[in-house]
Amino acid sequence: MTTTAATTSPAQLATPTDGPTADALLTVRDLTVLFDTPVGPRAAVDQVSFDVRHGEVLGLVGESGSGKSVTLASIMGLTRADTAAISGSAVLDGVDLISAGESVLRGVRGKDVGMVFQNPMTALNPVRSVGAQLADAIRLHDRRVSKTELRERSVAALAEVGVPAPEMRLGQYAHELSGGLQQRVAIAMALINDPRLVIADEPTTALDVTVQAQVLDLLLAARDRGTSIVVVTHDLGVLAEVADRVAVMYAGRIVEMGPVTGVIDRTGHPYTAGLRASLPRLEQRIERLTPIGGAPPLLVDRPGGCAFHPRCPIAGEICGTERPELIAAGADHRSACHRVEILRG
Amino acid sequence: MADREIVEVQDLTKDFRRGRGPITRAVRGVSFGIRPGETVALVGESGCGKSTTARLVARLLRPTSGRIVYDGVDVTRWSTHRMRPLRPMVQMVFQDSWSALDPRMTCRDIVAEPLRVQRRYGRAQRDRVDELLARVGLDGRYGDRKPATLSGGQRQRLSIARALALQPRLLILDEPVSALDASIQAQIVTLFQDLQRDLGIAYLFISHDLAVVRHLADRVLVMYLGQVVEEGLAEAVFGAPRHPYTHGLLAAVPVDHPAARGRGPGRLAIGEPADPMHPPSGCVYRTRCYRVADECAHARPMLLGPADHREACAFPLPRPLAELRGLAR
Repeated sequence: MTTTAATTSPAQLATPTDGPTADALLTVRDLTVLFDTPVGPRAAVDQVSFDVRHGEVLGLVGESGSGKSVTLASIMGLTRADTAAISGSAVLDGVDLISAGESVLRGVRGKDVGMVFQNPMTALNPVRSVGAQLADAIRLHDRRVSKTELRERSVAALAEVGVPAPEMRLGQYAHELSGGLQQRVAIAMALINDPRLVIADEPTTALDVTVQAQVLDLLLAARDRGTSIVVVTHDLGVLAEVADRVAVMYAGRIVEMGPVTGVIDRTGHPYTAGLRASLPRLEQRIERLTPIGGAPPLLVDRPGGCAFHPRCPIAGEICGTERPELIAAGADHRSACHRVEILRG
Repeated sequence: MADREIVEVQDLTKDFRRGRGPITRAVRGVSFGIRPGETVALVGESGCGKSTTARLVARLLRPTSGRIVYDGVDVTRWSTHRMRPLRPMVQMVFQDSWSALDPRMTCRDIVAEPLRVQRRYGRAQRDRVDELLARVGLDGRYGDRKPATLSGGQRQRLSIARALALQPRLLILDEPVSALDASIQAQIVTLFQDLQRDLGIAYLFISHDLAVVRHLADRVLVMYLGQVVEEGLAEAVFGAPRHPYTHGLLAAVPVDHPAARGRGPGRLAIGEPADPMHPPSGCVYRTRCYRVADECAHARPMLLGPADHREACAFPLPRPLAELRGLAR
């Protein structure tokens, strides 16, 4: 169809295995994370390459065990070195976070990169007040800040994320706050040092739909101030709402990556198509969903060839034997599927 | 009468109180019935009283006031012992199937247990257990396995098989798909539809996922701070919400295509629910409402209108959702 126009587009000539693109803040190349399993080392993350561009929201979507959280944890040095063997590179501002030592990473985490997790209590200390924790987050990267300034910045950070009565909150403890407020405080803490990148791992999964909308708005507001954001989610709906680009992960690999509109309108992988067909719609009632058959493979039991082929409705012979590479499939759009032409009819 | 309600609740109220502390009015004046083969959904944010309502319907809790009627019989004050013969009629499936399954039992034993408890387990029932496992998509291989070896979706299938063992007429599903991955969630939702079609079973479905509710429900009750603020046929409530709270909930659901971003009416349900121990006077929703007026503080609005769509609001919305969604933010 429109692929001829797309193939000549310059945007897609820069393949992810090239050097860093000019507009990338974070450049991840061939990231592989091997975990020891009873049957030998297995790749939870398998040669993953992507960029996070300046001021964009990149959505990383996939189901449990797809490797999306491990990808980000490895980049931030949060996997345990004794069980995981990490190779590849993740360059932020000329610094490779994969080969960097713990002291370098400690300077990056919370300063250049803010992190938000699904359960805000993972980020909040139950026995320190909100104010003390915000002050810790500031002082960890700048010891010379005065007490007055600490307080002012903490109050401003809470107000920024819409926490009502921010002065009063400084003296409160996490258990005194609702789930929605806890997540706001966690986001305030992630943003307090004006990071250039925010990594949000399932930031809205545990929240009510109303609070989810408010949290997504906060992330978009940070993006509008120039912060790049990676949102990890299993919910394609969240990405339709906030992402600029989407990377779809399955069994440790990125199987499709592109602008969110392209991925939805000209889907390049049957797994992405299956995820879409699995989702009920609010706007109109569909009589029957079309679930993907089977379940995602276990780490120790990944199929050869294309890992999705046993669940794929359009798999051919080649899919069981040859692993598809992530190649151009439209403007700024890539897919790892042997049968992409059939999928797109 | 074939179409008599399996369970009917009238003016149900449940108060909780810790020591001499203030009373939390978890459920206030809730009435509805569930007919054979239909799906009634309860929606609302955490703490709105939907799970407490479900536990009252299952008679796992005794209401502070109101009536619970099983198949025409008032069981409101019945003791646990007296309830026992009626338990098979209403069974429950929870979100966290992991905590509801004994890790030392095999799948077959887990499904057989309710039959044993009700003293209905004999030689003939062994086949019935395998049949139930097959019915929910777990073939014979799974019978001797333990829950730890199952995936999240398979464990939820197992919970459903166990809930079906006593041939209930009503299944209460409390967030049954919320913890599952999208592809597995669709499988379980489809399983619920198949079971209803084949067995004529009714569901009381509790979920905070409005898209799933729209997909499954015949009727919907929207709860806020223990009260039903809007109820009716799913098509009516989702297609033309009249209560500003329902409108706010629907507006908060992510769009399903980026082209629709920003077309919605924005964030209408601002902030978070009021403290249930100190609910606002008059309309309980008024502290968050974008249509609030002075009189909302004085009188508590009653549910008004025909049974297929009514709302408790002094200033209900005049137009269908599609039109409301078209308004600029």
